[in-house]
Amino acid sequence: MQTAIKKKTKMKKTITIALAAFILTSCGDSNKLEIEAELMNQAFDSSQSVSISRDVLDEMMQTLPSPIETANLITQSKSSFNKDLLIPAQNAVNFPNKYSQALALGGYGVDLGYINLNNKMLYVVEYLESVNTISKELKVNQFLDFSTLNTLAKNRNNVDSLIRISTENFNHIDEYLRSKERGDLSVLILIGSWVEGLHMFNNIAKENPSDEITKRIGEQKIIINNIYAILDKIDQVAYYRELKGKLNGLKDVYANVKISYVYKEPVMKEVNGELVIEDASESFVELTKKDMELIDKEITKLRNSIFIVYK
Amino acid sequence: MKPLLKRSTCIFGALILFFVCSGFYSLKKGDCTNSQMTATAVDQLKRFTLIQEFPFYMKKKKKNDAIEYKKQVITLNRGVRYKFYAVRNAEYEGLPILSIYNNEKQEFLLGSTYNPTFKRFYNELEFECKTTGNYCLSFSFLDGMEGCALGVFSSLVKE
Repeated sequence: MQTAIKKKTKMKKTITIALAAFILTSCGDSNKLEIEAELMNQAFDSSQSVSISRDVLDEMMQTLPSPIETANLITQSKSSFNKDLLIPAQNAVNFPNKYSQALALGGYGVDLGYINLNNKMLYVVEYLESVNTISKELKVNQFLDFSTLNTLAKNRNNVDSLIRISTENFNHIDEYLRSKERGDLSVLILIGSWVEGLHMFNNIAKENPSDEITKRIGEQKIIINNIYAILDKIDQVAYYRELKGKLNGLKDVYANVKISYVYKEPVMKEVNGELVIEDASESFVELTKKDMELIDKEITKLRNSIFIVYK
Repeated sequence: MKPLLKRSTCIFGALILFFVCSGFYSLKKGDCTNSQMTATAVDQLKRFTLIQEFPFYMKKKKKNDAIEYKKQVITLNRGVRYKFYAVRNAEYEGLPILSIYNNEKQEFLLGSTYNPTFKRFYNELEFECKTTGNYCLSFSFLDGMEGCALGVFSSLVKE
């Protein structure tokens, strides 16, 4: 009897150990998958990886404008469409690594938004192709609904859908990169879109100078400071260190720009049961003509160095 | 007695391993959101374009603790109309509150989806931005209850 109990106990123990071993093995498999994913991530660039935590990077990224926001601001400036402001579509195949491709994806994202918002359907397909080419290189093309966008681009009544779907696609790419611990590439997409946007603002200012556009350019001091704050956290990677170096000239010019802020209590209204807040605060931007010229010189140099690449 | 103890130890060990391997330990804030919440968030956008979603989860506050807040600095642009709202996960008791402040230091409250004077909730708040700069979004749950929600930050493109 005692032997039978002992056998039963031994059997149960064996089952428990086997269960634990099974779980442990599954655990091992999951670790293996993680390592594989990590290796895949490293394949983006084998040199180094950023050491900043995902949460911190996610938080800091919100201080950079998205491509569609940038394109929207440019369109609001009411300047006429100028194709010469766009990155040449055929350049899409020339970007040599994941970093430059991520920057270019942001740049082309703004160009595509600018084209869409100006209803220039003639160029949509060409720039969608560029975005698709870079997305493939970055291995994020699965989030780009290329065929739907391509179909929508054939009718100018589809502009709203085009904007919505392309923005959703960009958001999915951003989420995916962040989930793969490659939020740094998302940062580059946003930096690329900001560089392209600032370059456009400067060209618009040269053609149609106004206080409004000058103020908009001066306000970008806030964004360049935000970009610097992020690059400071990830500059242990050579590429980000170099990029910071490339931005130095622009940062130095912006040091002359003065922005002051006067808080005034906002006006709150209820519209259809919802709260609408009208900001009443004001900001003042001091920017000389010489500063404008220097910003233009620096942004053109920076933009050409990252987007105008020939093989 | 001894085999029983050993068996318990094994089962306990197996359970620990199970929880560790199943990712139980890594249940993070924000993992409580679901596809239904995302669908509701998208429906509520209407004329606006989604810029970012912020999932947030908070545990119930202890009796003498202050209400917990989650902060997020965002940059808004002059001349743009923004819309903010929070979609609640109804499985949790907490009612989400989303507030916006004029800067990172939260110097002045510009608006909130909850008015404590009238104990009134708004589904969303629209903000007509007049000064480009860094603003601060703050997320919390009414009375510090446990809650899960999806904060949404959107802008009006092509007004």
